[in-house]
Formats: sequence, C-alpha cells, structure tokens
Amino acid sequence: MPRGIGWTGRWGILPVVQRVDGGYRVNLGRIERQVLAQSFDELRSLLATKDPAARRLFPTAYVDQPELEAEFRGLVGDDLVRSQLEALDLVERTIDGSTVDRDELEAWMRAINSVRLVIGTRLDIGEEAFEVEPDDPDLPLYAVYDFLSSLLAVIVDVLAHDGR
Amino acid sequence: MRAAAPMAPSPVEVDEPRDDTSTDPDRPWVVLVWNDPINLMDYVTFVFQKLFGYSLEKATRLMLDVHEKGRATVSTGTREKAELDVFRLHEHGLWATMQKD
Repeated sequence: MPRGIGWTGRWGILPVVQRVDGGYRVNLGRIERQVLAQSFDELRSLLATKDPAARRLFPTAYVDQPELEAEFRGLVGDDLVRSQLEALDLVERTIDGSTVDRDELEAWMRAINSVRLVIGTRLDIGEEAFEVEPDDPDLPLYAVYDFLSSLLAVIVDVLAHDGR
Repeated sequence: MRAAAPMAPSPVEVDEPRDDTSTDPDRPWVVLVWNDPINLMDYVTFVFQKLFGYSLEKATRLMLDVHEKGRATVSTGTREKAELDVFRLHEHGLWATMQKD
C-alpha cells in the first residue's frame, strides 16, 4: 500500500476543509472539477456496460471455491454496481457545490477511490513509486491518477479527524 | 489472528477432527483483506474504523499487518456476517475474501 502523497495545490490552500458550522468546504477550481466530472462519467459508463476494465471493483469473495462464489454472486446480484452508482449520483449532484455534508464527502471518497482503482489497474501501478517518461502516451492518465490520489488523501484526513 | 474468546461459547468443549473443513459449525468464518498497490494506507485504516468501529490503534495495526504481511483477518463470525463484511469492503474497493478459519 502506498502512503498518501501531499497536496500540491496552489498557495497551500487545501481542496477540502472542515467548516466551523458543520459540513466541508470544497476549494476546487473549474478545471479540477471538470477532470473529476469526466472521470466519474467514464466510471459510470464502465459500470453500465460491465466493462472488464472495471473488474478490479468486483473482487472474488471465495478463492478457489467456484460454487460458493457463484452462490455469493447470486445473492449479491447487482447490489455492488448499484452501490457504486449511488455514490456517483451523490457526487454528481454536488460536484459544482462549495459545501458538502459528511455523507456526500464519503461518496466523493468512494467514487474517487474507485476511479483510482480502475486507472491504477490499467496503468499496472506497482508497489514502487512510479516514474513516467515524458513521451509516455499514458502521461495524462498518470497525472489524473496523481491528482486523484492527492485529493483522496486530503479527504480521508479531513474525515478521519472530524472526531466522529 | 484468532480471537481469544470464541464467538459463541458452547457448554461442552469437543475435540473436532482437524481435517473436516466444511461441516464444522463452531468454526467461524474469517474475513481477510489482502495487500494491494493502489489503496492508500490512511484510506484503508479509515475504512476499517468506519465499517467495524475499530479504534484508530486497532485499525492502524490491521492496516500495517495487511501492508507488511500481505493480509490480515479483519473480522470473524457466521457465514452471513462474513459475506456482509466482504460486501462492504468491496464497496470501498478493498481486496477482501472469506474462508473457514
């Protein structure tokens, strides 16, 4: 597991901060929100079409026990997809807002991490810190992955220190 | 990683045959979380606290077990409870599996 890397935003302003009167303020710029919205759109499409690129979001529960696994999948059905889509719904309703509540921020956390899992799997991210060549065609994807990782680290930090 | 106290204390201690892996109702199911290179350490700790109500200390210890040993048992119980816990961990993107202890 990697440690979260620091937020490298402008002027040291954190992207999410807890408000004194409850809730959380979201300090993201227009382009950052557009990157997020596009990432969430893509995740929604992958989920809707059951694209194999999203298979990392549906791990095996019973290893080497195909009968029990099939039984489990039958029981769970599409609940896992539905749960992912519900988080995306909540995020999309609040993507342009300046304030979110805790449920909404936890939905942001889950959706951002799901996108990271899909991109990280696609890029075959390993345990070691990655280095990218300047002419790597996946360079933009690495940049998005880095951005999402930094944002997630801040969100987890804010949620974990909310004293609840 | 087994809990010191059994989940459901029984009045009589019985020596079960050790090679019977499928029908022993007293052996709980365990939920394992496996290490992966994408989920952030602090995220995993937070998810353990959120889903299981563990203290920061316990959640951190489990996260470090996953990180350093490759896996950790994060909960135990009936098959139904284990399946629910696995589902909730999968909802949060953690690589969770379950098996008989």
